[in-house]
Amino acid sequence: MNKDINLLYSKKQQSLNELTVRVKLFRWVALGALFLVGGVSIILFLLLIASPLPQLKSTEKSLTGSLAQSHEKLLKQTLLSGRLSDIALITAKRSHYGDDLEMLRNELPSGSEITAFSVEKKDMSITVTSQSLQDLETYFDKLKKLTQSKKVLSRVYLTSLEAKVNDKNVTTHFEAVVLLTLL
Amino acid sequence: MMNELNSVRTLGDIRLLYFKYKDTPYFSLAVVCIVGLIAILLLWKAVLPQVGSWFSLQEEVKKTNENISLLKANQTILAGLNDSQLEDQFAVATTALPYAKDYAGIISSIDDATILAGVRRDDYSLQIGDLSTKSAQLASETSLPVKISLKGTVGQMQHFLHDINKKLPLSEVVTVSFGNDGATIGLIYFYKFLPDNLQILYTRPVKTLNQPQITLLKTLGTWKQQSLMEIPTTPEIPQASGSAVTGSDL
Repeated sequence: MNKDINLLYSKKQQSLNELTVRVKLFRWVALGALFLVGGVSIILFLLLIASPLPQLKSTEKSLTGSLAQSHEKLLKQTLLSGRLSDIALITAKRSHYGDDLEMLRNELPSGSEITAFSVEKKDMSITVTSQSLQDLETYFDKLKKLTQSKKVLSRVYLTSLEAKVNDKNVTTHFEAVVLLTLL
Repeated sequence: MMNELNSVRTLGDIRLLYFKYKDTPYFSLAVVCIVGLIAILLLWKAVLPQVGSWFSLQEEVKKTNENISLLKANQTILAGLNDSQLEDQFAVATTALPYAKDYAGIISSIDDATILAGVRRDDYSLQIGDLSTKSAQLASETSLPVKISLKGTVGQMQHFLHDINKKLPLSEVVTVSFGNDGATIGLIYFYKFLPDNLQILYTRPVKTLNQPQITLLKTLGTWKQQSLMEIPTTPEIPQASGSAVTGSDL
């Protein structure tokens, strides 16, 4: 028997029935979607209502009010902290020519002295006088060692070495001008 | 059917259409479409904005919680600060790095250092510069150049250079020229204006002093104390041949 032969329903009626079944299915899907969306919307609404934000804002406001009473203290602490940072920077970067000069004088052999010096930034010039040429040489050696140790000086340059004589043409002392580059 | 829909004019026409199609799948299809449309509209107009609100609310809650933590931390820090100690520390720091050109402090520090080193002070001049312009007041960190002439031995000069670094306000020796006629020393004295737009935010973490800063404060305090102690017991200040304050635009 041919399956296509249907004596109960016409073809139009059959397609209508199929459509009805599909529409019923769509109807359930649409209703489900509507309820789902509605449910989610209600949940979100409840979540928004139950937010702790107003309470937190109130706490924040009361804490801010409490801090406002210590405004001057806070201002001083902030300024102090900033000022100390600046001071630390200044003290770390500024020159210590007194210490440099002390170190150079400590290395002087007895009988020798620094009679003149000038300094600007990292360049220092010293005039050393001594009655003994050997003492001057010893001093230069010490300066060279200081340069090699790379702690205070980076360069030593002997600009001039003069022998000073008196009226009787006798050498009284020696004078050396040394250029130093500070580290 | 479209023609029928187009010819709808009154409520009666709608009722007629309803009764004609209510048992057909078209009616159900129309209901499904309307329900779907409502669901989409609800999603678009209600759910999505609510989701956006929820996320921004969470963000706000998080930010507020952070602010509260910071405020509480600041409150604890401020409660732990001793008022008089803070006052002293602030005074020391502002003496070391004043808010303006501290002429009295500068002159006092030079006097102290010269007395301590035992050198004789000659003329000195402060190059004041421009005070009235806005740029001068807005400069974050500035310095006042000072030139002094001293008479003494090389040892005394060494002491002076050493001592002046331990005097407040803070200064830096920039040039030294020492010879038979004495020494000319170029110094700069530091100061820093108060920021014009200083804003204190309570939600910004209060910076507590770290160990190097506390040590620095102690050192500065010692220097300040030494200066204060020296002034009353100061021996007679060598008479300066004259002092000049030049170039004022006050």
